[in-house]
Amino acid sequence: MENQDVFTGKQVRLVAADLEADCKLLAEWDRDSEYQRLLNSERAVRFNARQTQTFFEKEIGSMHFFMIQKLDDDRKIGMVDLSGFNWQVGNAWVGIGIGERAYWGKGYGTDAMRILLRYAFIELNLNRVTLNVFEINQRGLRSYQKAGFREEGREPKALLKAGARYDLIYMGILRSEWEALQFDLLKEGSAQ
Amino acid sequence: MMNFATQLFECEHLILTAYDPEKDAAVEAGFTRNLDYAWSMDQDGIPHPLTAFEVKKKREEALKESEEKESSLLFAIRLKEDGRFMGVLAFPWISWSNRIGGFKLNFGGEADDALYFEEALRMTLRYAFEELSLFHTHIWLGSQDDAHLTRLVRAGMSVEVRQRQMVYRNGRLWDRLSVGIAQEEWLQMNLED
Repeated sequence: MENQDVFTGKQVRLVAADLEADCKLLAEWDRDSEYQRLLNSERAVRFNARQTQTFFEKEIGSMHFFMIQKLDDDRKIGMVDLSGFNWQVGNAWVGIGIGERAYWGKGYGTDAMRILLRYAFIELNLNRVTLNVFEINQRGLRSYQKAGFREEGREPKALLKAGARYDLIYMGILRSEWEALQFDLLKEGSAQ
Repeated sequence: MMNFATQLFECEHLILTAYDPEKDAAVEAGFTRNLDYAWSMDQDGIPHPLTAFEVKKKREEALKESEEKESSLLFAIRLKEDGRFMGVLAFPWISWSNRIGGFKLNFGGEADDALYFEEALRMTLRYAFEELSLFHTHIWLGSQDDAHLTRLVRAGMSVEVRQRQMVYRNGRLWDRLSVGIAQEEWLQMNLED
């Protein structure tokens, strides 16, 4: 295998959170209401670092939660997690956000997602990974497609924000699809 | 046509009442021997028959949450004639800011399901759109469940999401379907009636 560290990609690595320090970051990122609106269908609000930490201390046992850290300067720029595990069918839901908007659209999220999928399939032995994205989040949608997710349907006009309605898009990637992608990447690599 | 005086909790043969954990939970625990019923209670869990204790605890928690957060609803479905508890209608999570929410509609007995599911579905959609004023609602089911899908489609609903290999029953994986309808579509159909 080219990369022995399952949590390291081309631009970022996934690291376990330092709850005290990182919850300050997470709470600060919520200042950006557009970030919150892209991430969550419910009303955008502000929680302080203590409230955020209390939430994670309660919930972190049921999820696999990581901070996204840049390889070049170790800066933490976002978070990604798997939760809602269903071990009978081998599914989990992924949530991802790049909180530092200076790093939007630069491939960090796609790299983090690829790492997470590798972890999900070769370490957790999942059969599929699922996510939701709002129609307005075209950058996210493209990133998930690039990572291999396929659209599985839409709840029409489910999100109401700023007076407009947007579809809630369901996406999924099966283990077999992910494996085929790795094979294609391998072929491309050996052809170059 | 919508009518202010419509009795929302009644239809020809059925009545929606409050769920009574003291009495209904023991009966509902019996329903969970049917794994389709058990699955519908926890669609991300592993379906298995539940004890009366577990059902009572689960329903008491749901009622408490419904009271405190006002973002979920739970009803018992009873036969009008004799008050017999037959199943459950639940809206597990309603997003008021988006006016959307899914529902679960389950009968414990096959005969009751065959006779009354469609009647209960009409009452459910009427409540969702006329009282809760939802913009859209949906129900999840496994792709093996042709019987319910047929009845949902007959009520004007359509498959909107097909999550591949998301359900395991009878020795194989099935898709999980979200079958939905918008308030606008429902109103249009009922105006035409």
